Amino acid sequence: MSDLPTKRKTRDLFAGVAGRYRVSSDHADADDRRILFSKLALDPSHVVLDVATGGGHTAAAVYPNVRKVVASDLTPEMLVEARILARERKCENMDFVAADAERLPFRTASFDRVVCRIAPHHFPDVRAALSEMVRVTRPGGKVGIIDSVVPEDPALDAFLNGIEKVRDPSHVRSYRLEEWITFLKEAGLFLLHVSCAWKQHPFPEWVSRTGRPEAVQREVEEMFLTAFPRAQSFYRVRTEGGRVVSYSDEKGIFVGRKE
Amino acid sequence: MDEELLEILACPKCKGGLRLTTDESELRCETCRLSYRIDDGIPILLIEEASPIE
Repeated sequence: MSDLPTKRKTRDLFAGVAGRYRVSSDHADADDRRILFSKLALDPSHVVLDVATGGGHTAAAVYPNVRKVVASDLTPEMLVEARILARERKCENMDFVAADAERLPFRTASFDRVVCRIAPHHFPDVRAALSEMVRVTRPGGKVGIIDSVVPEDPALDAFLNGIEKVRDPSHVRSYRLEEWITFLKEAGLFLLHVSCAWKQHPFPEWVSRTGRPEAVQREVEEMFLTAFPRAQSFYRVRTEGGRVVSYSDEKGIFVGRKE
Repeated sequence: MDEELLEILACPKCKGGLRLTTDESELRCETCRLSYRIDDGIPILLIEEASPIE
């Protein structure tokens, strides 16, 4: 299923701020990625697809472990940034393809591993994207996903998803762990690994990254400052002199095998 | 264009193979009669950006 207005919003937003994602500390940070790569059992013979590569951090990080990487993204301007990062890191056997995660332009069973990190919350139809990722993976190959997850508590779920939508109009939804497990199984994966890792976001960089007006950034900060106590404590909101310094959320890490 | 990449690229609509034009400026799907441009070495394999082949 296609959702052009959301995808257009996503492209327009990221085209304007592409460079910030190449230098983003949140995206360069490596704890969750280390777990993902170890569970993927990467091999120097592997051909890997990185879906929605953004600033290209995951593609560049996976590159030294494998033979070839293809980095795809909906926004061509992002791929230009990802290519700059790849050149800086001397990733020679890396290709860049503008692609919609829900309509991947690759032959069936083309990749040994498919990865997608901190991106599915932008997909209008996450099930369609997962089904495509599984299609392009060879039988016995693995799919590895990292994305923000929200807790079971509906109020905490609504709080973070609400904040994300104000900060980033292309945000669709950060899912609960249980929702993810259902999606991955439905897509035809045998789950090998599920875990969570806390991630701290330095607030000023995080809130300005999406290029929203000053007033909107301030609104997001107010939402954190006036949050109900359970949300402030769960998301570890840190303040100093009445300003938000950082908050933390959980990233879900999932690896499944295509049967 | 990298030959190994060309072998695994497919039309996002029908998932069939694509043909690279001799000037390497476009990838074409003869089944869907669609042409996908290549911008500065990056194939733009988005259905809504494809142009019909005359």
